[in-house]
Amino acid sequence: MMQTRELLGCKVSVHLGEGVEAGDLCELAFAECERIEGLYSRFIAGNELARVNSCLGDWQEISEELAGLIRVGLEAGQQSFGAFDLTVKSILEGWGYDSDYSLTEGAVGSVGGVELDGRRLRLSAEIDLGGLGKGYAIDRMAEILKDLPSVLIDAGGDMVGWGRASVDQAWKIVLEDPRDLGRAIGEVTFEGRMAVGASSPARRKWRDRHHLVDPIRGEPARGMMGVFTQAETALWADVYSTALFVLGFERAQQILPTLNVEAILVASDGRVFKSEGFRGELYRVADGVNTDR
Amino acid sequence: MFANSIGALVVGKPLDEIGGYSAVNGASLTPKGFDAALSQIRTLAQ
Repeated sequence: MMQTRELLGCKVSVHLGEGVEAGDLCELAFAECERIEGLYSRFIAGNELARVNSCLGDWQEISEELAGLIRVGLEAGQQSFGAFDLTVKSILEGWGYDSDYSLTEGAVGSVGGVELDGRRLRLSAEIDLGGLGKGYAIDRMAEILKDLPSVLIDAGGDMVGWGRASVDQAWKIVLEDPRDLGRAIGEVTFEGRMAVGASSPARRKWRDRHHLVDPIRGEPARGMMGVFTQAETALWADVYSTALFVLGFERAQQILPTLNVEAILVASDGRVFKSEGFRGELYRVADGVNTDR
Repeated sequence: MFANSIGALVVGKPLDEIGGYSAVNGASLTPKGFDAALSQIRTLAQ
């Protein structure tokens, strides 16, 4: 059985394993997802994120939950040498990826500083939680559904699952080919609890822009076509998929061993890298060299 | 970890030839407002 809602700017689905009865837990999980979107989406006016973004330069008290998310973003920024940056909002909006989806060029934005002291926050540039909010929401949904034996929560790029689809069938997901959305380059069969992420500009692109910002250059990140990640939580799978995408194919490979994540990287020229611990298979390769061993 | 593969080219399979999967992991679907704006850009560009 599957239930789907339009949330987080995409479709979020909860799949239940065969014979699993969820009662009202699915509704509670969707409500939690909606709560998180309501508080932290930059596309919703008047929420907590909008409030903190409206007070640049001032120290302000924020919720423990928002402080926790910002803390993760700052840690990810350090781990990725600045590739992950919460303050890309003005850059995206300058490209027209704004609350009206104008998709027209405006003022040139820039990243800035984030100071966090417990629950006190001071910003010099507006923040966007788009690089981690969906993963966090999926984790929160999973927490509500955790006592069910078999669940797959699917928000497209971010997923958490455990148990099996049926007695005979494990949860299986396919890895979308970022070059051709009608194809897949591989698949993952879930073993135990798994959290996966993905980043690709294949759909959120317009003119010569897309939504994955290189914060150092202030340009759309180049060099990568898609990234698939596996981490302990959907939050970190989401964070690392963004960071690795921005880093680019070669740099991402260098940094991967220092991060608590497994990944498949697809370069813009079609080259593919798969870390040894990534649980899943690539279908096959053109030059006959099997990279999945 | 580490590390497999350098520089090999993966050939994908059509989704309709793959059976038994529950979900597609990849680029998230986009909101209706974004789709509408993109459609308008394409129309204007023609």
